[in-house]
Amino acid sequence: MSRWLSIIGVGVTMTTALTLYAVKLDTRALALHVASLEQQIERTEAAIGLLTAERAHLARSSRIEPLARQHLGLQPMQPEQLASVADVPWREEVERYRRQQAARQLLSGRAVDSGEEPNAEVLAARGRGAVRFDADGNR
Amino acid sequence: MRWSVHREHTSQPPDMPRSGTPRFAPAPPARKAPRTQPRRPRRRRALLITLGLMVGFAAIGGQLVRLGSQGGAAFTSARVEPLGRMAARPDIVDRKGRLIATDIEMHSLFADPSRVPDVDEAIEALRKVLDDLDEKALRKDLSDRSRRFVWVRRGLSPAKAQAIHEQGLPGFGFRSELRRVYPGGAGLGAIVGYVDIDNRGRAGIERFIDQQGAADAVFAPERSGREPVRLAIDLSVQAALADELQQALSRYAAKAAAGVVLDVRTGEVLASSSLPAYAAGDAAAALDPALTDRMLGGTYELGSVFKVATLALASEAGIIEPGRTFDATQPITVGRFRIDDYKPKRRSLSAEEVFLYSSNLGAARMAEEAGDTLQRRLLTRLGLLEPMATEVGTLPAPQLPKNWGRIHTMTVAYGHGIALAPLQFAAGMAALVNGGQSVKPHFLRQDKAPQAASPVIGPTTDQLVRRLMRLNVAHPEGTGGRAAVAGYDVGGKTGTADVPIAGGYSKDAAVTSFVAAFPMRAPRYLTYVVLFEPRPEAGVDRAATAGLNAAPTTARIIRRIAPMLGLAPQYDNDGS
Repeated sequence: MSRWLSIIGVGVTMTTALTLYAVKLDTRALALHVASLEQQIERTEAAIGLLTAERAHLARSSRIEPLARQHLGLQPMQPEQLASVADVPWREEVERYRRQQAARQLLSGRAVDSGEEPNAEVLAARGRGAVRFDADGNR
Repeated sequence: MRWSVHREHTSQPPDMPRSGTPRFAPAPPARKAPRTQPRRPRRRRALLITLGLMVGFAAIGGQLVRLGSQGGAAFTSARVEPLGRMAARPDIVDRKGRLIATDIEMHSLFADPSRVPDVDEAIEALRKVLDDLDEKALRKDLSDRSRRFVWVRRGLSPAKAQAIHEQGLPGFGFRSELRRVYPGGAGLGAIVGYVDIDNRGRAGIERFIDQQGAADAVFAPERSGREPVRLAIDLSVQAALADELQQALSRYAAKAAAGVVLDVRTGEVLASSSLPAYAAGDAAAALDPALTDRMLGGTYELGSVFKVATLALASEAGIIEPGRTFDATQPITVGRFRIDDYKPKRRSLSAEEVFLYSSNLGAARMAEEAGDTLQRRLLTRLGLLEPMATEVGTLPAPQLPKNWGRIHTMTVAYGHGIALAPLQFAAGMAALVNGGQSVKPHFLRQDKAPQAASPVIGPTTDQLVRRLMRLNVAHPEGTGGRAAVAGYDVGGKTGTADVPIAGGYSKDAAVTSFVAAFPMRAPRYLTYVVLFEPRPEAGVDRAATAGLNAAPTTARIIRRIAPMLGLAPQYDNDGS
């Protein structure tokens, strides 16, 4: 019994020692990894800072405005161009058109974005078996 | 027996194995081994030791498992570079988060001439990357072997620094430094300010950041981890304002133009421009007196725009009643001063008429009747008589009459004999259209509305001021008709002040201005436009009064900025 205990003891001791050593090695490797990651973060942050500055420089009004005028034919918005949705006269017709389009899409087997299941009639019309759609309309 | 030797060791303290060496010394004594009765105490001791050791090992094992599963403490590396103290500054952004100022890491190339083996080869290699290299100067620097350090180029972009690094030139090295850049700072020199070579704020918001302790001293170039400083400025509004002022500058051949857009409830400065302007970070321009920001940096006699305050004064004093008129039949002479109207009506005028015709005589009579005590109290409560502190520094102190006598009460009523920074005046006017809450101009975005204090003016005055300002633009006889913008209910007041020269006032140089608020039913924003020495618009007008230049400029500005500020036009009753 004592012999077994001793053997187990030796085993445990050696395992412990090895594990400890492995952990120590791992720690050192991890520390190096952390240091390199931190350096990478620092570099990336510097690059982000630089790119943000560059983006802001490119997006400045004094540059965008002449470009928009010259190439897009845009000009400053005038108050007369503002209207609320309620002021749009044929809103109902747009709504009807939109509904027709949705129905047509359903019949042609295209995706619907509502996530609703196409009903049996539609499936029958399509002449295929039941196909499940997820919310994005993918089969 | 084999174990006897080890048994002797068991008399050692039980914590021995913790000393580290994985010796197999403290053998676990067997439970069964000693059977004889006399050995019993030893056996028990051995058992205890064994147990102790097992507990010890279990503890170590447990600790290993814990370390293995959890990972060590955070590791931080410090890199110290031999650099002077510099400051990492928070970014500056506009009210919508668009970048105005930021720190970027720039690389500076230096050389140690004593360690450059071949000067020609080095210059040849550098020329591939730096096409604007001053070869002569560099050759001279590098040939001087007694020197150990010469700057070759400071502030290189990372791409160029990398390209040079890849050339692998011996004797050359890089240092990285923080540089402040202002990608969105066009025309904001007076507000944002500038920093010195150590990245310390020296003027404007940059100095304010240092005063708040938000600029951190760093040894290595690292970006500030602080939240960006959010200005009240809206870059879109600012650009529109500056553009319209620039057009006004050439249209009226004015010497200078300045304008501001304030939120009347919070005092936030949404845009402030003074032309000619200079960019943020431009220290040389900031010190050029010809480029002084006229909105924040100078005091001027502003003229009849003060009649808004005079009207409020008369109303507060209770001297405006239905049917009440003010004598404007003849010029007033006090000592060597003579007060007269620009276009005299030579009759008594009602309060409305005094305001709409911008009668100096009528305003002088109103102020005289209200009295200088009440006048000064109102102006003080509007914040017009004391130096006004803002985040970008204290505005130049108002220039007031030394002994505030009867004549001064009269001239101040129409804006003469008192000189103010236009921004201070604009902030004072905000209190007259926002229901009487006095406000200070703020260059930093205010997330909370200021606490309501006791109003400076009563509801009757508030209504009267708003009604007459609106009337001045909407009424055909008002001086501000050209400031009208359909749908935005603009109200305002003109001011044409002669420029003081030695011994009196200039006959043909004037400061024209227009203070406006919109929408007048419940004002949200206030604009104040000042033109310095404008001329009549070529081929259109014969005069150069505020109603002909500052007012239409204001209308153009409001047309552009109101949609940006999220105000939809409202057309009702009179179609305006």
